[in-house]
Order: sequence, then structure tokens, then C-alpha cells
Amino acid sequence: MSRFDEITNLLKYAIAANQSSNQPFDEKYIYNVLEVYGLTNSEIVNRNYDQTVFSKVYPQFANDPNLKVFQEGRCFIYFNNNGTNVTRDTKYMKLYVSIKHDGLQVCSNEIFNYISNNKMETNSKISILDRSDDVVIRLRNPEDAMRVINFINSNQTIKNYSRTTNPFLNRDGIVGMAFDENLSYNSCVSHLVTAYLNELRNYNSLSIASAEGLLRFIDDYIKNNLREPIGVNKFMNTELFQRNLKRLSPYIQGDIRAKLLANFNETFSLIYENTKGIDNINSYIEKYNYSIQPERNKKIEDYYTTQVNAKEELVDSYVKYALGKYKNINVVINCLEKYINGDALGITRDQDFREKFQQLIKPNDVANLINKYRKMDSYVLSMVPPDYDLYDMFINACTETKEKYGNAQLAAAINEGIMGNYSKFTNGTRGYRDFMKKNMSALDFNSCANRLLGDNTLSLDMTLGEQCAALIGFQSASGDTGRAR
Amino acid sequence: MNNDTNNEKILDVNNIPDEVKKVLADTSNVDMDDDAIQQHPSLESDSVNKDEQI
Repeated sequence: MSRFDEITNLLKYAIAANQSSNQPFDEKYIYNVLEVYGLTNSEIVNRNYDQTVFSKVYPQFANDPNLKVFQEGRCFIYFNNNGTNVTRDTKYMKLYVSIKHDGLQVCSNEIFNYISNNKMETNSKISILDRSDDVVIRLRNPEDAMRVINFINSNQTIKNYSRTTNPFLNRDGIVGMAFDENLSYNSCVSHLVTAYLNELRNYNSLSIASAEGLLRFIDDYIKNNLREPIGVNKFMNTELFQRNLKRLSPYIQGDIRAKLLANFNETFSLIYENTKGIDNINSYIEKYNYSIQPERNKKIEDYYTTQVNAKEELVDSYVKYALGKYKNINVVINCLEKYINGDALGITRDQDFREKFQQLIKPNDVANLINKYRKMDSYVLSMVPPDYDLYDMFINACTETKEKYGNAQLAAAINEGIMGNYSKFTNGTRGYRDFMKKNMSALDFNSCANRLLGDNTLSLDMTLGEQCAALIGFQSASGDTGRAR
Repeated sequence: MNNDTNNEKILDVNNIPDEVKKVLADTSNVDMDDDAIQQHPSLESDSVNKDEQI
């Protein structure tokens, strides 16, 4: 059976086995389906928390100098190098082996003896409840991972007790491979599969569920939810994100939301690749090595820091724009207050602000920010002259630049200004350069230059900058050049 | 080994006993994040204090 066939079968099974067909699919239900993947009906029905496993496994490792073995929580026995010392760095390679429950003791002894004898750095666990991922081996070193995979695939005892791993993993022999840093890989798979099935359900199209459809869905999901601000903010409101945010907050330093988004991006992308079913251990190790590069991680986290702050940036840019439009901070505050009270009509439609607000900004978000604008009142006003007008500022900037540096400098400043670069303008008496950078788009600048030029085309041999520069000094700030317009 | 079950087809869409459906539908014990790496919170606070002292 091909990987696509396996995944399609899993989807159809999840649909057929769902007892709550009148309800949307639930992520926990899909997680259950993944958890029993590869188990027979008898194994599924007879599962229980076998509290005898620890007492069977522990003696073998009681005096092990390299491994600490302990049971914590309801389901897992851990094998690691540090016992219950906190785990800060969580970038491990993750190997899954599905072992029939009656072989769990003998197989885990084989596997963890090998890991201990070779002094490998690990943070692994086995489950006392029979499940598809009942042996999860985390290893730091890719070379160790290769050795463990080869060991398992050549160990007849382990092979005899093994079952297939779930089809969303990269596979080598009986070993499934993934990495998920702070997240649960299978939980992420459950989220994506659930979202896919619910979308089909909404269109009464569950009968066409397929691996190919899921693959397209995951691709779209990543693009829509992790690649642009509105989607990112929507994704941050999902139960999946909020749950992990709450769970991981005590342990992650820095901008946890950005780090978590980067982690989701990485894990979803890996699920997408693995769903294609092109198993390749070398590409898996390559991806893992790529994923742990500090520079790359910083770049991704910086990207998500920007995305996380998108709401505030949008409101900031609206306030700046509205201040230019209404010339009164109290009018702008009033528009924001109306939005808080559910009236979006106060937000201008210019530059799609109203639509962007409605898609991205909740009234509560504005309520959280509005004091900042009240407090920043004087600062913002200092950036915007009371007689603020783009064209006046343009003319004054041109005039002072020409007076200070001459005609050629102004011509060059205008020629670059039409591309949005104002660096050749003087900052002058009123901070023209800074003002234009903050308030004037290239489009605005072009509009001002064309207004100045009017129909005064002086020479075809002159650049726009040269023509405008030649006119400066012959006009007033109100735009009257004294020539035909 | 479970020799008595070895011939059963895995995730057989055409053979899903009600008992299996019942197990899958029971999500009361499902911990969606139990597959994630554990941070062993019991000792976390000690470690944080150590970091701060440095």
C-alpha cells in the first residue's frame, strides 16, 4: 500500500468510525485514531494502563551510569540522562517505534541498553498504554540517530514485535522519524487532519477525502495561517495555539508567541513534507540539521515577532494617517473609541484601513492600545506640524533643500524621492526628511511632484527632478507657481 | 506476541466493531500534548533561581 493509500484509508476510517457524525470532527478524536494506528481491533479494545511495566523495566537500568529511568504522570516511563532535571533545549531528533505491548519490556531493554552502552544523549519514553507511538526515542546527535535506526532495523527481536508507525512520519524500516521541538507532532497532525475533514464536512464532501486533498489543504493552511498577519493572528486564537502558549509559558524565555509560531511553522511544514510519503533518512537528517541553525531560527523568530506585532503596527499606521487627514488627535481618538464600542464607520476606508481593522483588530485590541495614543499625543503631534499638508511640506522641503545645497542636489533628491527614498532632502527646520519617511508614500511624493510640475514641461532633456527643481522658488507653498496649471 | 490478532487487517474501514468506535469516541483521557517533550516542572523553579543568580 502506498503512503497516499495509507493516509486516504486513515481518513476514511476516521470518517467511518466517527460516532458523532452530526457533530464536527474533534481533534482529540483524530488524535485517538492516530494513537491506535497499526493496532488490531483486539489491541484497541483491550488497551489499559499497565502498571506492571515499570517494575519489569526498571531493574535493568537501576544502576545504569548513563540513563535515568523513572515513571511520571499516568502514561509514560522516561529514559534520559538527567532524571527530572529541567529540559531547556528541546531540539531533538524524534524516532517512533510501534511495539506490541507484550514485547514492550524486551524491546525497550534492547533499545535503551544500546543507547546507554553508546553513551548517547537522549530524552526518551515508553508508554504503559498500548499505542502506536509507545516507544519514542529523542536523540541529540544525528549520527546517534542513524546508529539507533540501523540497530533497530537489524534487530530481529524488535522487528518481530513491531507494527507499522503512523503514515505521517518519515519512515526507515520500522522506525518513524520527525522532530517537533516543544510541540507534539501528532497533535499538530490531528489539528490539520481535523481542520481538513471539517472543511469537507461543511461542503458535504467527506466522500472525497484523500491524501492528495489533505496535502493541498495543508499547503493552503500554512500559507493562510502562518504567512501573513491576518492569518497569523487568527491562528494565534486557535485552541491549539492558546493551549500550547499556556503550557509552555513557564519554560520559554523571550517572545514566546514568536517562538511558538516558528515552532508551528516548522512542524506543519515537516508534516506537509512527510505526507508526501517520500521517505528519505538523509533528507530527514538534513532538515533537522537545517532546523537547528541558530541564525536561521533567529531569522524565523524575527519574522514572527513582526507578525505578532502586526495589530499594533496597523493601529499605529492608522493613527498616523488619520492624524494627517483630520489634523486633530482628539478626532482620531474619537474614531478609535467608536470602534471600541462596535462602530467601525469612524475608521476611514482610505488605504483599506476599515477592512483591515475588521479583519484583524478586535475592539478589545484597540481598547488595550488607546491609552498609548492618548499618552503619545504630544509626541505624535510634534511629528506633524499643525498646518500639516503633504503638498506644503513637499514644497517647503524642496525649498530648504535648494537653499541649502543647490539646484542639482534638489533635482537628485526629487529623482530619488519618486522612488520613496528621501535621503537627499534636508531635515531642515521642521524635520522634513523624517516627516516624509514617516508620512509620505512614493505615490504621495509623485502626486506632489506632478502637482508642482502641472503642465510646465520645460524640456524633454530634463529629468523630472531637474524640472521640479527649476520651478522651486517661483511658487508659494500653496502650490501657485504663477504659471498655467 | 499477539498471535491471535496477527491476521486482522489494520484500520479496516469495512470492519469497525462498535467496541472500537466506542474506544475512539471516548476522548476523556486524551492528553493532546502527551507526545510533546516534558519539562518536569517540579524542579523548574530551582533551576530558574540558579540562572538568575548567575
